[in-house]
Amino acid sequence: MKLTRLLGQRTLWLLMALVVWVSLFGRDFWTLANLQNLVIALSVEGLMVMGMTIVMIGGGFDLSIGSVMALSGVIVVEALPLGKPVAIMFALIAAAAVGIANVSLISGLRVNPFIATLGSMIVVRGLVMTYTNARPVPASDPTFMSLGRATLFGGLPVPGLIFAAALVLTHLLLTSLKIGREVYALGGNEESARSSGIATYRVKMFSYLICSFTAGISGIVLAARLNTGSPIIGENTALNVITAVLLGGASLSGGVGSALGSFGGLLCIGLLGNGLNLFDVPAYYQRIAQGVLLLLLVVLERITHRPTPVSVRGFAYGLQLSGQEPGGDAAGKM
Amino acid sequence: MSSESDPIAERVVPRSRRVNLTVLIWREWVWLVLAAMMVLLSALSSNFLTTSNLLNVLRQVSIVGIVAVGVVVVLIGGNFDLSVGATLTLAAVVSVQMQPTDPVRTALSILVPLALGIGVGATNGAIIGLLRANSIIVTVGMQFVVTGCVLLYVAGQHVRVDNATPFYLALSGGYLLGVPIPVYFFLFVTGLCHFLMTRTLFGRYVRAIGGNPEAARLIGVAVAPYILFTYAISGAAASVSGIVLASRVRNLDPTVGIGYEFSALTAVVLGGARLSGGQGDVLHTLAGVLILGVIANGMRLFNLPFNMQLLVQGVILVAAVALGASGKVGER
Repeated sequence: MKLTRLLGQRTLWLLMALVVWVSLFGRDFWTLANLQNLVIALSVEGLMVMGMTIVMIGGGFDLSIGSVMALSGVIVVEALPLGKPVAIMFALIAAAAVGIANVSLISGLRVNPFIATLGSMIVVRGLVMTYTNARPVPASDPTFMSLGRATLFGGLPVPGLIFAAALVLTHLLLTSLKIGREVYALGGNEESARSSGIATYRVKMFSYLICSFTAGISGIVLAARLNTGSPIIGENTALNVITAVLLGGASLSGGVGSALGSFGGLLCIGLLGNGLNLFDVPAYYQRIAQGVLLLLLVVLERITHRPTPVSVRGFAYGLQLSGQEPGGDAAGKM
Repeated sequence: MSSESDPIAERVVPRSRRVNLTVLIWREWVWLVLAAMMVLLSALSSNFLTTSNLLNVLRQVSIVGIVAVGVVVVLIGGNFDLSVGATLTLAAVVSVQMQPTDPVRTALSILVPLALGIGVGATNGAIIGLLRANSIIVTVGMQFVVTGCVLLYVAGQHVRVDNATPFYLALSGGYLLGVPIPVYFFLFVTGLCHFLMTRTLFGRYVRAIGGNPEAARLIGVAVAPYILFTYAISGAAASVSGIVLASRVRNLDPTVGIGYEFSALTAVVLGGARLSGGQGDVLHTLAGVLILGVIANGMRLFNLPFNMQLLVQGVILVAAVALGASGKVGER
């Protein structure tokens, strides 16, 4: 990535401003405890941000991740007596099943991704709620907790490590692997992607599966951290995650976005929340501040970048939040 | 297809295809689903097809229905409105806080929330219309701001009103000619928006903007004001719902409206509106709302738990949309 393009990214500037702000004025920002908390909180959502980035670059959308989180969390806790590896495998299989169902609806029956995943969001939530009777399930195995709470290398929480691996993998996948280029091509223009010989069904299957998978892992990590499988977690997750991805330069119409950009978007939201916490700002003001930040960002974006007529395809109307170019130039727009 | 001599309608839907039964069936798909469900429920339960039960369904769906009609208008213009749940909460809470215990305060408890709702909607519309900003981000941001402000305003506590005026109570509890008053509100808002979207230049232009904003701009449509109006309509609709809800409950949790945006969107989607804009029908949204209401009612008739209702609702949504989508593919 060239330096000039890096400096042109608004998220980066915002991020730097936020870092300066919290480190100068937040008393306890640079303490181990606060940083650990921040890393854990960001990691759980960050995993899903990576999955969502791939789906959204491919022109898709996944609202079901919050419900998948709850599903895998409950399953892993319920299956713990069978042993940890088996329980985790079951939870991931369930998550993958939701992903396959999503793709079948979207690709097989040509249902709009928004509707298909809205449907699976409701169905999966209903399943989990019916199964647990809307009560949280306590975990029986005390060693399970370590997955969410243990630290490595003198203080790095395990979830942070998982997230770092996911970030690197996603970045490599999107920039260097063939399937990554195909995801950009799919999001840029599905018809031309198909015409140029890309198996669009396979690419879609891949991206939604990864997204459901990341949601499954997040659910397991969160269940480990809480030592409970909660059927009601993740109600707002999808919108938060999508917001972070959009902040990071992806577009609802697909074809643009990058793992690092989404990471920046995630950090912005996380740092803002953490900063407000450090200043003991009441929760209600935090909500307002987050909303105002979102509104300010889009307004600033539009004032500094006068809207140029975009070729309109589906959602594309004025939706590109950031002036960022497609992460990979050549294959982005075909 | 408002008039026979309309050249554009003539070109978009050729005369020969307008009477084609298959096309008609797929276009009115959602009504067929509703009819099928009603037949099924009548066969299964003798309590379903009674006047009082059907009126009950209508009364129960009217709150989410009014919201959904606003959402579909915005969606036809090519945008999302995810702030309606927050607007509904704002209107409901403010309406109760106005303490409608005498005629003047009753008037205030209707007018102030309405004005606030229109204000929130217009702000959304201004940001999205003028700056062409991403509608999901803007309305989610607005949702945060409005919810935060409401919680701040009432300090997170419940609000209540005792001794409300009979007029205020009648907004949700009254009957006219045997039909509950909220149903009139619902049908009036639906009728008005249907008229706006099908019989006026406003509706045409909004549809054009939703279909292709760049093309609409090039043929001389001022895009921004129309988008602003659609959001103002949606804000007004959400606040009407909020006022009706406040009049019904009168002891409100300041998070009462959470999730209404998704219920409304589900109904809109069941009604076959295209999420990328340009296509959508207010009457089909009415049918979508009724389907959701009939499902919930059927579940209650059979005493199924609420969580199971969620499950069945989701399955029916996916099934209806998948079948509808496969029908449209066949039509192409």
